[in-house]
Amino acid sequence: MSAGANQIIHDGLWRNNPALVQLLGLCPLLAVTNTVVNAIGLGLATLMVVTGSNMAVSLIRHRVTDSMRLPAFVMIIAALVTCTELIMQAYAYRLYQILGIFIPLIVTNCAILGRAEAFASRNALPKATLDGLMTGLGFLAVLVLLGGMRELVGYGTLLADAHLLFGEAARDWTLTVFPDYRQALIAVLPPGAFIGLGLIIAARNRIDHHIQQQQTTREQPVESGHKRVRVTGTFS
Amino acid sequence: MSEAVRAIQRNAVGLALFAALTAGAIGVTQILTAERIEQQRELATARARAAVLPEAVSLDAGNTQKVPLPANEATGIREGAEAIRVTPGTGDAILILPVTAPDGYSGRIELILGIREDGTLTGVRATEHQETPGLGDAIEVAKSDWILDFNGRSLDNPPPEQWQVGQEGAFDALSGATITSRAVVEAVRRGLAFTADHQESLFRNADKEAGAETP
Repeated sequence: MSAGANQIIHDGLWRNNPALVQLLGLCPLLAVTNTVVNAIGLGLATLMVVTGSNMAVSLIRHRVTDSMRLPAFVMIIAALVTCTELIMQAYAYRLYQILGIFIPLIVTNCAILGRAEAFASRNALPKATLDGLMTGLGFLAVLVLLGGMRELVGYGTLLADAHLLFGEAARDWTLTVFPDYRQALIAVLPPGAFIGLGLIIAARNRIDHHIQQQQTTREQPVESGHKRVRVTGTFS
Repeated sequence: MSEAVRAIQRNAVGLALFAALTAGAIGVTQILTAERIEQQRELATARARAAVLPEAVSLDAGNTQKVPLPANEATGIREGAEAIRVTPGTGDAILILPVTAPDGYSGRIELILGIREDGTLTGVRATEHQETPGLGDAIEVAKSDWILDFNGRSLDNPPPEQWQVGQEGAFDALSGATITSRAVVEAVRRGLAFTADHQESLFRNADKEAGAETP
């Protein structure tokens, strides 16, 4: 189980990240990430839906026939999204107003249906739940990162309007990173989203490449290691 | 044949069960959250109402009155709708009037107007809309100052032929959201016209009371 669990965690967060590798759910990702708080709001909502849908799909996986599988999954996801929307309306009304149409649009996030179809419908409840959590967290992490980049470049702040999500106590969480900053509108407008996402994907590929190279070096014959061990001067 | 029919039956029953289950889940959530959502809506409306009033005027039970409105198609006022009339200690009574712009880019835009007895606007706010995030949602005061341009306007300011957006009009169009801007400007104008037409009935009681208070 634990080896499998590690694999699932690694897949969801990094190797198969829904936003950076599968490139799914880009519409809400690009649209709402102009501030960190918006990004967290949509990220949490998506996390709830993908985890819930993975759990539900895993529970019913033996009861649905192949031909009714997709409509059943879509119904589950749509119901969860509607519930999430209601809950957000009840507990984060102003954020709900800001995120607007993108909450119902979570239904169309293919990452969710993708996980239901590719993973949850074939795995037991604990694994499916973990997979949902990790996929959701992977998505949330990218949203927050992109939101942070755009808010920082666009407005020079981080976590502005946190009270919309976390209540009045969070009103002064705002970090003004650059005081008297003149807004850089490009980061806040849609082009900023594409540029930012492109940079994040590039960085991810770079890191991945680096890790692979390291692994290749590590797998090289042992003697090179022996030689290194004897070196006492500077490494070149 | 009968094999296929049986399969169809099985799937139909299965899907119907699913539909019932998922609809039930939504129903339960709705019942559990309904009260709180209603509270939040009222809070949001109260906030918006306070926002269209001048800063010196505050809303409280003592100075507000509900005014029933006649149904009116042009402003989207439906049967049973109510305006709020605020009678501050000093100065004119202010009417808080809900109007609907039916022709936003993505459907209806709900607005509230604050209108003084002399017909000038004290403020306009969008309370509900589905306009495009990043473009049309700039009608929200949280996103841009555009809607503040209505403050102090009246049916004669700008002159009637300039009550429109763009080059011939007195109002700027939001970039990338001309349809949204036009819908809001038109709705505000219709709201002002409606108030002017019903001036008597909308502000009358306030006058009477003010008269009664001064012996």
